[in-house]
Amino acid sequence: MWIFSSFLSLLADNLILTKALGTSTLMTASKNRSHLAILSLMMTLFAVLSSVLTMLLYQCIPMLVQLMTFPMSMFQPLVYTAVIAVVYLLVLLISYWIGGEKSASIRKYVHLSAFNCAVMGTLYLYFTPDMFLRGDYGSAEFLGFQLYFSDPLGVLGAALFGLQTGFGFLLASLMLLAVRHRLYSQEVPAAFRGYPAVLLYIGLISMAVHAIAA
Amino acid sequence: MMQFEHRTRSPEFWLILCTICLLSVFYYGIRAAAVLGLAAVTAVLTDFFCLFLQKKAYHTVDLCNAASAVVMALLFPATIPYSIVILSTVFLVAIGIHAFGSRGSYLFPPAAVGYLFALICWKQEVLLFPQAGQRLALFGNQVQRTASLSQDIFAQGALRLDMLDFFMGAFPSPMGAGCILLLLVGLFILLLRRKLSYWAFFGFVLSISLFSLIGHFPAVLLFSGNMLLFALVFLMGDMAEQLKNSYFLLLAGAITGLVTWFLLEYARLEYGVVIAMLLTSPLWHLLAAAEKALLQRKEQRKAALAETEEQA
Amino acid sequence: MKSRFSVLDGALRKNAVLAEGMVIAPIVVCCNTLPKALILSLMFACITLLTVLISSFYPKKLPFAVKVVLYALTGALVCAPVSLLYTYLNYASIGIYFPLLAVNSMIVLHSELYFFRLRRRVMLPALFFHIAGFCLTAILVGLVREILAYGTICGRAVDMPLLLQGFSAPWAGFILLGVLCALHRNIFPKE
Repeated sequence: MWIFSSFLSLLADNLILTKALGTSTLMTASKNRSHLAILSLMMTLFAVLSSVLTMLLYQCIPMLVQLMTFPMSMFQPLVYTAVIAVVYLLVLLISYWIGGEKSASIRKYVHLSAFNCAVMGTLYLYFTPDMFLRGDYGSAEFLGFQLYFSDPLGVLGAALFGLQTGFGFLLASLMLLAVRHRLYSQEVPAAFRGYPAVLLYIGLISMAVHAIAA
Repeated sequence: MMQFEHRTRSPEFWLILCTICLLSVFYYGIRAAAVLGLAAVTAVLTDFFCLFLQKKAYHTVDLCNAASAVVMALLFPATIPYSIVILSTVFLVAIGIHAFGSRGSYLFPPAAVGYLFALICWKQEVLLFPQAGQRLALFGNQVQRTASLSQDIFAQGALRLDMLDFFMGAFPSPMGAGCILLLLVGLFILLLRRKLSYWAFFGFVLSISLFSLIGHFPAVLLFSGNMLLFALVFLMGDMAEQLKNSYFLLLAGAITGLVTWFLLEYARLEYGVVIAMLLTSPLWHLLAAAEKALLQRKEQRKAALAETEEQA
Repeated sequence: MKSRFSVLDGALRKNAVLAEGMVIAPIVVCCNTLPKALILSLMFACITLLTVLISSFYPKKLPFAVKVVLYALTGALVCAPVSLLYTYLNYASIGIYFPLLAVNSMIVLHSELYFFRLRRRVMLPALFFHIAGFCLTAILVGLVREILAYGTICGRAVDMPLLLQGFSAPWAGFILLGVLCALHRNIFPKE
């Protein structure tokens, strides 16, 4: 029954339905199937890569753990933004290298997926002070392949959390894509047509998810 | 002159609804009538108001929304405060129905929307029930309320109740979800008169029955309470009416049943079926869109074939 | 001809949240009490104002990707001193939504697509009114949700006959925001 508990945990821990992270990107993703597929892929890629890179950073530079507590915590946004920036530029460079000028259509999705609340929120939600107190992230050794094997769960756990974010985004996008044409149709009163109806729709799904946990 | 319509509700639906309302009044007295009546009146008034805001003519009163409000009210205990009934009905009609412009073709089962709203906001008032047979007054009822039969089933894993009481609904339960016999008869009528899709029903029941084989509770126990029969009679139709293809109906019914079973089995939520109806609504719409696309493709092929034959 | 008061549009007609659909997350989740809404508004105002002002001096000829990175990093840098203010005030907690303000869409995208195309003397009031629009929305949502969910205003009880306990949850934020958007659209129809 793990598949069903996974499905329900994708809903219960969904960044959009429970924390409203990535809602603007969701509206773009649900416009059509190609938007949905590419944006979901991009979001997953960014979430996974950012989480993994951040985990490696914490493992390689033990001093960074101090970001979890005040006053160093005020530099946490800078570190996380820098991580996402590195991933963003990397993905853009790879897209240029592979597709050249033809990859312009893909790059707009990269711009949308990079600096959004869902990807950033993944980092804040995963890397919590509790995790470091428990010592789950493993001992810090400077660079090295050994890090992966001495504490494989650290990087793997981060990657899986990023993957969960991406799948949760995909699920929410699919749910919205299914009814998008209805929310933008002439049947809906003009005042609610489009964006307000989308918010109400997400709200009602979120209400159902909340009822499971309530 | 005021016209009344019941566009998407069949006469059979009204018959079953009215019968269950009468039984609720029989069990709980005038209080039940007040709650149901208040829900209906509030729905009509909210309907008027929403149509007024949309600058639409309101000389036609659509009783569909009143019916949805009464269905929602039947899921409440008879002791539910009137203010909760009013607020839930306003939410049901304004947000669940009018905001999506879906009078007659619903994005979500409206009664499920109103019920979940009330459940989340006032859980204690919604999930504690008086004993059936207690004639309640309009105001000032100080009666003992207990958890429903469904919670007993989850706790004890068995049905410890006299069979007559069980079939006649003489136990703590939502006003309309208790009388198993009446609900079974209603279900039978709807299926026989083809007002409820066989395939959706079959898919729903089959998936719960099959998965219950690997769960803690047998299917019979699950169907004994947990609003399942009520949901089949009054909520499933709202979703099933948009699909025609048998396989899609079977699939959607099965997946709804599966999610329901999971919520009942693992989360022990007696209102799991209501949540499942809401959560699987996108799937029903997705299948409806797929069905429409398939039909269009079929018609295009026919037209192309007819053209080639003409040319030949 | 554009009205000379079109810069005011950012607060009402082109409200960032209600009309443009930006920065929804903090309002939906955080603004369930008035104190949280106030602190969110203050932090948003400080971070966005400073970041956009600083970023307006970056060369326009830089590639788009580099500019976006610079804006985001500037936002994160500005977050540091603002977080001192946040900690000092200690008025209400907005959790992870405080650092997320550093990469809000008004800084990362809207500034490049709208603000930086205006002359500075027009950009400043436009920015101010856009921020004011967000703050107005946040405060309204926070006020309504606190009254309905807790029956208080800034912790002081008001006489509410019935409380909607679930209204502090995110789902209520979505629904309230949806209703407000519809109301906004009714008052300010799309041209």
